[in-house]
Amino acid sequence: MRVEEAVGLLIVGLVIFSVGASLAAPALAPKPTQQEVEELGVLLSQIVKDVLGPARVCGGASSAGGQWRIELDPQEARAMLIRVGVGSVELNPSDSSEGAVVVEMEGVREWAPSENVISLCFGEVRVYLPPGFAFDNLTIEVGTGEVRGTLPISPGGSAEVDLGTGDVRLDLSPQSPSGVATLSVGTGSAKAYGFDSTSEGPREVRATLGSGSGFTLEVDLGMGDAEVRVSGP
Amino acid sequence: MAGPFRSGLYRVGGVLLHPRQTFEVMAHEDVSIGLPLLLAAGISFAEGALFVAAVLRIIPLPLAPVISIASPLVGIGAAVSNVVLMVIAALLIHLDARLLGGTGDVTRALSVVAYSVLPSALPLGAFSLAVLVGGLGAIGWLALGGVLWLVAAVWGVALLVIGVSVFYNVDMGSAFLAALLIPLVDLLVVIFLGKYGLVLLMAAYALAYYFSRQSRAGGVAWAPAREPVGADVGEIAPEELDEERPGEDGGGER
Repeated sequence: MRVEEAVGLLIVGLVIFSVGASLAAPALAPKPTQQEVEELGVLLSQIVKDVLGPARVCGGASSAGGQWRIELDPQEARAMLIRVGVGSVELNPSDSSEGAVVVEMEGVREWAPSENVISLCFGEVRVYLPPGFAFDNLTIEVGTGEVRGTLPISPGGSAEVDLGTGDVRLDLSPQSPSGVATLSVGTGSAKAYGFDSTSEGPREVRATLGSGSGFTLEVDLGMGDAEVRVSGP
Repeated sequence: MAGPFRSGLYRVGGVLLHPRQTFEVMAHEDVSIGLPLLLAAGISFAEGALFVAAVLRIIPLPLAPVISIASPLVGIGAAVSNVVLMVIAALLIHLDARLLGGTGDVTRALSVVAYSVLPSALPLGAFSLAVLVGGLGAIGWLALGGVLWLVAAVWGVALLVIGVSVFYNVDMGSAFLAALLIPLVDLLVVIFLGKYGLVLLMAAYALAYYFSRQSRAGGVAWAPAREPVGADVGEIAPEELDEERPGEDGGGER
């Protein structure tokens, strides 16, 4: 056998061995239990849904980059949907005497038919809330990023924070001292402070204030840390 | 049966060890496509599948079901896309080489492109070991595979240029232009200008084709104007032929 043939045989052998190794790779990895398979499936579908879901709307004909400042009537703003593909959402109390809810945005915006629906492919959303304002129905969806700030919530109001990967840090300011906060985290930590009682389940923390019959806050996080602290009323 | 296989192995080894000689032999005999194309597809499959499996093996989670789905899927995707890319690259290289004055058919370009993928078999060993070792140890093997992949890429480009030079009978500079520089510019134009870039490229190629045709047509028109070698033979008088030529009888001055 000539040297060239030997080298050729080596290449062919290497390719066959590598294809075999790639097919045998799953057998080498540790086998999960049935429960782990189910949890993994839930985690992956959650990440795919949260990360790709909001980001999928990016780049359409109705999207544009820039900076915006809009003022919303507090009655309209009591129900809001804020959706960000990659970026952050910040809720800040404002000492403005005008009484309007001010939303500042920076990034690539996807135009929505309603003003109280804020949709950003990439960027930052900062919401300034006037004194005495509280949300009745707030939904924040972020693919990858951060949600932070002060969240005032009405006595029977509900708020939902859905985040794929990143951190949630909220100071909860309920108008009545009764309600429930549920923090579900796939991979990471969930902490609740200032509540009357907390119970921990697998990857979930349920914190109750008062009788628990008032407001509801749900934080659903795929990967990252969630921290909710009662700061009011 | 063993004959063609051994000949195929010889060519694979020969291209890697002494490419110019082997490509020259192929240019005179026949250009092989089957084995190099099969190997190139196998290498692409194994690289894609092994890389994904190795990366997932680093994560300390029971990811066997994910690997069993993701690894072959990525492998098949890599193999199919690489074969498609090889065909596109071969068409471009063929077009460029012909416009630069080369001679040869598109199977030669496809053969050269397939052979140029063979050095990419080098990192397969490291990727396989990364999969076998798993955990943090796999990172080192993956890094080694990455370095070998870069070496293989440079080696592959060298094979591509040498192969185009031999198969299309052009100099190394033209081969470098046809095999690497022009396709690279084409790619950048398409990336940055999108469909407008594609239209621009098609127009550029059409113009280049037109001018090369014109140039060849001009050459044909110009050629008869020259005195062909030996055209004046019939006009030589018989007595001129009888004249003694210097040195014919060995008596010429030296």
